[in-house]
Amino acid sequence: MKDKHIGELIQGYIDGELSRKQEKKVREHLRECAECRRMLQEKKGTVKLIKNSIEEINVPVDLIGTIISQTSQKRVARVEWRYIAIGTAALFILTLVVFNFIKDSSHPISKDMEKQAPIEYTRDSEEPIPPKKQPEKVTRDKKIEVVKEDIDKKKEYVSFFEETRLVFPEEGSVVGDDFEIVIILREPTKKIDLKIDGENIKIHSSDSNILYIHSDSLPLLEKGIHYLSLGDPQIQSILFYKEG
Amino acid sequence: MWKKKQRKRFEEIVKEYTPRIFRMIYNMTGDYENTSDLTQDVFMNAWNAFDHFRGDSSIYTWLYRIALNRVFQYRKRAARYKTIPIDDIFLSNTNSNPEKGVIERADKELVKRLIQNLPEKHQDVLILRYYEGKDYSTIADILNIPIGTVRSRLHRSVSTLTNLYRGKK
Repeated sequence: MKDKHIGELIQGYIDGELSRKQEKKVREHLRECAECRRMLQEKKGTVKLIKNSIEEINVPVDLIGTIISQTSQKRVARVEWRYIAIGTAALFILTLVVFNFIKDSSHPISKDMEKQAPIEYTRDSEEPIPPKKQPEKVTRDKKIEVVKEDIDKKKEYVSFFEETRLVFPEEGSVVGDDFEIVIILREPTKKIDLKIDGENIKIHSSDSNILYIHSDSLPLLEKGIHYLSLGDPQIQSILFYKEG
Repeated sequence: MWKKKQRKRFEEIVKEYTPRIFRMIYNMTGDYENTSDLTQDVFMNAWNAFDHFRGDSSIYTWLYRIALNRVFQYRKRAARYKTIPIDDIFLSNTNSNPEKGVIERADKELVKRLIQNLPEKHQDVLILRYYEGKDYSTIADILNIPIGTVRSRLHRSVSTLTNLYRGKK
């Protein structure tokens, strides 16, 4: 079975969350694929470790009593922020309308008003500043499936070599904005030299073993082969994730 | 009369769910000292909104959502993006008495630390699934994400943990 989601299906299989049809598909695949059998065993082992790591936590004895007594007092008057927001917006619009109305010197009524009662403000300084135009968001085409050929063959694991190739061969394919490269280091580090196609990529690290690079911080990668190179010899492995 | 009934119902909910909410908050924040305060906040918020609870979701899904929101606020405020150096804890534990119990404790501690180093959205599904024992559809409901996303996040977190754990052993 050439299924790029086999890892997720195996996860669902362990958790008992697959339909009968999916379960059958996974079982059949497992019979033939030694690599996936290994993945299943590893995942099962990790799930067991996670469950074993649950601690017995003592809930403070008086907590329930405290909560009951606290909540039995008068309810906190909730501030309805949405009404405040609507009110503020309405006031702002009204102010704009009034200013425009007064500013319009050709308007006969405003001229009369100016004659009758001089208004104490300077137009230049008090004229409301129109809101700044937001730069247009660049939308990425999410419909096109990214084909990560090299990566899928290795079931989402990319071993670290001196250079790792990322291949996006489909016509017009771009890397969507929901993927993540996770670099696992042998020891915590603050700095790592990562380059994609020779371009330096900034990575935030807080002296940790794991570095997460979200696609947001990467340049837009179009179809073709891209080279991801890392200058740090302390790398244990690299994982490439695409949001499902 | 209706108010009295509501109040009685709420108190029953407090008695039943306080330990679960407390445990979940502790597992998500790792901060025992603040867990009591956060749990109190959750029930205070729940009580303030109790009249509006229409029973569209089950009571525990509703409470978990309130609790998660409180945890998210807490994380933001605490700027809890500090990561825990895994080596420190692991080395200190392996240097001590290598009896079975000690190794098990070290293992538990290591796994917890590794979980805390995962991205928060991955931690959340992991904790809800394996600590809280929730099924995919309940997790999807609590986190307001599709079931497929629950599965893919679990797959990723378990794979990352497998890799990390292997690297530490």
